[in-house]
Amino acid sequence: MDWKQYEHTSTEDLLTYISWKDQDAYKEDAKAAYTSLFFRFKEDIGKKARIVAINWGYDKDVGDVIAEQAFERFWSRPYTFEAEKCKTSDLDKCVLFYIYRIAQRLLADYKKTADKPSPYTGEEEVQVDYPDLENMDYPKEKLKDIRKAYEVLAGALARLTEKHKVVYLTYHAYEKKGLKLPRPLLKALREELELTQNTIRVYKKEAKEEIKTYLKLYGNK
Amino acid sequence: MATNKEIINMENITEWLSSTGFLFPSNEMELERFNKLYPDLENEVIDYNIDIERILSGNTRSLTIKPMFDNDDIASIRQYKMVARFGKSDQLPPNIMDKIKKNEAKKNNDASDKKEEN
Repeated sequence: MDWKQYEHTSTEDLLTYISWKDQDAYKEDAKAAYTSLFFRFKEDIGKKARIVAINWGYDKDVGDVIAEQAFERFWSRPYTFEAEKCKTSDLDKCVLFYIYRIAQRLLADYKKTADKPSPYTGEEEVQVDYPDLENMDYPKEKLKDIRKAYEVLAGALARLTEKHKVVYLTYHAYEKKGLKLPRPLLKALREELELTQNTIRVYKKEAKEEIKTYLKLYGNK
Repeated sequence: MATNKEIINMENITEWLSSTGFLFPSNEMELERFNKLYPDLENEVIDYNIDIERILSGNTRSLTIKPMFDNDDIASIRQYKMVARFGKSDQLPPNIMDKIKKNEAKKNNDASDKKEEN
């Protein structure tokens, strides 16, 4: 079936067709619909995955693999995306945030996939906070302020060792207020970085202190 | 002039990491900043190696990641590691165990000598 048949179909309808992927009669339609969804978001996801991967110190190919795997995860379990939880009429953005979150998790725990299959692939559900887009009230910064913020953060992170940086960013990628990181992730971090949990805690604290000091010195100029 | 004092602090740093490309954006504000910082350039064509056939068949590329430290680095770091990592004393080499026992014995002797002096 030619996916172009679904090229202009609304994202909402595409998601419905995709959810029928396990019904034999609709399998091909689901594939074509997912292909259409893929081409709709490929550029955005691909670009962001490359940017984030490079900022973590990896190359652009890591970004492409992360993006590809994130699309695969969505395709393998499309039912875990619940449009009714979006709290927004902009379904496209809600889908994007959902895939970003998957990609973020893949990047944060990708290290162990180099040697063995990720324990995250398959069974568990990706927990996603659906952003409340309609109630967002936020200041619109100028590009120069955003660029300055980037420079400050890049400068601060550049002062950390690679291990400190990975520990720091991984914690930020996962940690929600008051919650600990998932156990398998902590284990993976320990194994990958050859550090004990105590050392990781110390690294996290040291990185935080370093960033704090840096922000005090350079963030207020 | 805008100052960063109002922009980044330790409370909103995750939000700023997600706005500036260190993490993926998680809400509309972060997305808007992200897109402003990394705009789509006119006529920009990027050849992403992301393939729908691999995705649909579940055969996506896996990450063949270059280790963060190469083996030589790891070896050079390892020699500085404490021998008693993870508290597994049974993994300590015999010469280290002997040294520890010797030190312990010395400490005990010193302590008992002091006691006797008193």
